[in-house]
Amino acid sequence: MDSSSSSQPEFDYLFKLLLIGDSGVGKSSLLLRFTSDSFDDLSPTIGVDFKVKMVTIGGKKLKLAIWDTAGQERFRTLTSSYYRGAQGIIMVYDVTRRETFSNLADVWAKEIDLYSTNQDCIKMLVGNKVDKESERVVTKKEGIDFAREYGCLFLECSAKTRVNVEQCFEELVLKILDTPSLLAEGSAGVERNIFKQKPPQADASTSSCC
Amino acid sequence: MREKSLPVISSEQKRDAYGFAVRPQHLQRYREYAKIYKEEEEERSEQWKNFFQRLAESALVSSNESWAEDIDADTPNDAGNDCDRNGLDRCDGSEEVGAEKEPVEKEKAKIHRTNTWSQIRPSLAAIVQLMSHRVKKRKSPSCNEQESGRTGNRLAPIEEVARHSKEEESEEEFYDMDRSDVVQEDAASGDGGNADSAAKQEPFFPWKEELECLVRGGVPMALRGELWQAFVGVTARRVEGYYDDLLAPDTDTDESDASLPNDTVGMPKRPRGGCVPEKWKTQIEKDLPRTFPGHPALDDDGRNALRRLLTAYARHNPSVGYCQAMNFFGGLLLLLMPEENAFWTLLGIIDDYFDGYYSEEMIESQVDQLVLEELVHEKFPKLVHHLDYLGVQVAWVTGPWFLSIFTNMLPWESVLRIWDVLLFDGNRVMLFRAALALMELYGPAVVTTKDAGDAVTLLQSLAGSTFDSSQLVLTACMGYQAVDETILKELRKKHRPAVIAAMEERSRGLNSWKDSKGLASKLYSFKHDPGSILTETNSADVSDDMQTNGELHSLKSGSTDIEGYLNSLTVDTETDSLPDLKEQVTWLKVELCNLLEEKRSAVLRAEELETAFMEMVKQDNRRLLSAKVEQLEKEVSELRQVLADKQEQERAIIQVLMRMEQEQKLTEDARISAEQDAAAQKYAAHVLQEKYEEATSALAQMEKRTVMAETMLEATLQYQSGQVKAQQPHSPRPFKSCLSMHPPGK
Repeated sequence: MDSSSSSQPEFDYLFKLLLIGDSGVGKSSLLLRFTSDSFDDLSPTIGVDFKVKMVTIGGKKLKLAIWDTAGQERFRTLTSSYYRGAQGIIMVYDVTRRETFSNLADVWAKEIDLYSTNQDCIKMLVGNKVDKESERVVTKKEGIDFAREYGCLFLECSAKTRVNVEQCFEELVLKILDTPSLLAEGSAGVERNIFKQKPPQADASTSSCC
Repeated sequence: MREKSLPVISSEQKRDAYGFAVRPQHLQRYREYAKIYKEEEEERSEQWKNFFQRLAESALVSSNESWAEDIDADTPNDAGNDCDRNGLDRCDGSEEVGAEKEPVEKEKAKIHRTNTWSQIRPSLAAIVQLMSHRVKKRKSPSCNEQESGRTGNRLAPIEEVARHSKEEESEEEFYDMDRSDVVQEDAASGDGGNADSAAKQEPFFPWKEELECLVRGGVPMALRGELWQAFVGVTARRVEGYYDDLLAPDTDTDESDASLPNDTVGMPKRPRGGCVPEKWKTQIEKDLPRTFPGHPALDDDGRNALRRLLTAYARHNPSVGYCQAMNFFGGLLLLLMPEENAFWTLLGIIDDYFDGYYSEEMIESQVDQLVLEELVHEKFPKLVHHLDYLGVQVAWVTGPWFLSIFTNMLPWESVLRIWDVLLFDGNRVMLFRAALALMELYGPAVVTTKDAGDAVTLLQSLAGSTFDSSQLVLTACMGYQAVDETILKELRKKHRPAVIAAMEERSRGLNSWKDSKGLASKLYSFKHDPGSILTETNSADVSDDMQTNGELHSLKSGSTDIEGYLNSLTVDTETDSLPDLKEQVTWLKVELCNLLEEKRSAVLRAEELETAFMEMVKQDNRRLLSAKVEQLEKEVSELRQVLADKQEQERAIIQVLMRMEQEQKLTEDARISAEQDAAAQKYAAHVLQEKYEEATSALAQMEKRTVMAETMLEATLQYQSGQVKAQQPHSPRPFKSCLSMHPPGK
């Protein structure tokens, strides 16, 4: 897997991204498409899942740690700790199911408000499943309006046909690279601390990590 | 022949012996282990066979069948997927028979369902008895609905019998073999029921420990379905007809048949037809195709069974309803046993083993994670240290392990082996032991990772490749035997308050948000278009299938009182359609919105103040600290100054000393030179003295000479005068004048 063995950090920045949204909107599929360019029947995510991907965007070598959260309502009580320290949050909805869109305003925006510790954290709205154009019930305009109101980036994509999937992550990351405060957090030097919850104990494992 | 007893022959290469997908990166390892699994399976089949033989010989199990017969004969009850298949086939068959015999649709449906139950083979009766004892023990103090259900069961045996006979009539071909079982089982359950008091004296099962060893070694596939049922105590739990009645509303609506058979006696709780808002329905539908996608046994029939199973459970226990992960459990159970058996097994697992785990708040699940974290901390301090350093919480990885009871997290052989032990134990201890064993196995690798992302993904992928299931189970059970229910109970008690407090905080946070933001944004749209709220709420109503009845809103979850109130107001205005009232309502709404807005701003203000306060506290601390540091620094610099001064002084003194020394030298020199001078002068004086003496002597000589010269001159003069006198005796005078001239020169 991704077990890095070289001693030098092989990337310039490490960013933590978070995928949220209702159950079945395609968060895991989006992530699978992005990390391994495949599309599959996936099981529902229980709790949380993780993927790591190295990319080069904007001339910088980046390591993206992407958290894929469970969509079912009750799992939200468990997911609150995942928001901490995220530089980017992707809110996903299904363009063929209106409730997944309206829940963003009713539910997910409030989760971000309550749990995101990062004031400058970049938010991105993503409408998935545009391959099912005939079943579409949420228009692009609605998405744009929502994005404007909540001050986030916006894209429509399809994990199935791979349309716009790369762009989602790319735009988000570019915006993060544009934000100095986020950049500072994600730089390789302080890389370990971006997930920090507790302060490190004084002589944190000097032998084990180097 | 035993190969045959493995449920699904893997036709596809990417699937394992159970028909589950194997991840491409694990295919190679799976193939390596497939042989080992087969050998292990043969070995354990033999062991279990011996065990049952001895059991049958020693204890007087009232069975005319022997275990050997059971495992060798291909009865319809046999093993896993075949069993499921058979169950489904039987259903189809029965439907035909039913249709021929009785044209009533409802009746047919009923038969369809009841036939999805089958008894556990009698040779397992001893185990059933052992485990049912556990079920009863747990139930008797709580005296819950199940208890009343059992009471009902005992009170209405006649109807049961009647039903049985009806089934058997319609289904002779399939129940042929089972009939004896049914009768026996009924007798057994009757025994259990009547002998509640007898059961209390804790029957002695001398072979229980041996059984435990066997279970840890793994349950043979052919027996797994039934043994699991025995472990969970399905026979003791089952209430005849309960499952069908839970599903009755469906039948009702599906076939648009109005008359419901409400006369069934002894239901623990009458499922309340279509009135119950089934919010889980959508979720179940979404998850059906996502449960083991592509599994050969989960075809349309299989998924329909899964739908019924999950729906029935949700109706049975609305406080849990449907939680993702239950679809996996249901799917797995359906592969091993008939539908209703799967239902009672699932019910046992969720209601007893995992009580409080999958409910809306998932309290126990969170508590368990804290408990596990503490245990991991205790057992693997180095690993935890490293994870802390990376900022990784153990629960991020282990949470999903526990919630899914390792399904999809480990290779299937390992999952099943863990389930064997867990179901046998009757509690969640095995979850902890298995998680600790996995930490033991993979901790050293995780310690080498350098960031949180790597640590988490490595642990996940390593866990996913735990093919050595025997090693895992052995490590878990032997290595962590000390981790038992008593310890866990204590730790849970310790951590529970924190979880509950966090939950309360969360719901407070959500409520204030809901009150403020949600309605404020509504206010926004309301101000712009007063009609929008009406349409909005209406559309919400439509989607909830209850647009007509305003009262239903109050039945909805209580957390949305205000919105519910708003909605009911809306509905009122619609139905009454009185302009005055409508205006009033509008005014009230505006007022309410204003109030809410005020409240929101107050809340926000409070939050701001709080954060500001926190900031201040932080800064204050910082200021104090920095002041202290400054002071210390000042002191240090002062000390340094003092030291420097001292050094300076020392240097000055040395300089002074040196100068004095130099001066001394100088004076010495001066003295020496002075002495020399003195000597020189003395010498000079001496020389002068000599010169003086010389000069004196020279003077004296000169005087002498002068005297001589005078004398000579006198002599000469006397001579001359003599001469002159001789020549001129008359002139003495000139001589005299000459003489008078000389003495003043003397």
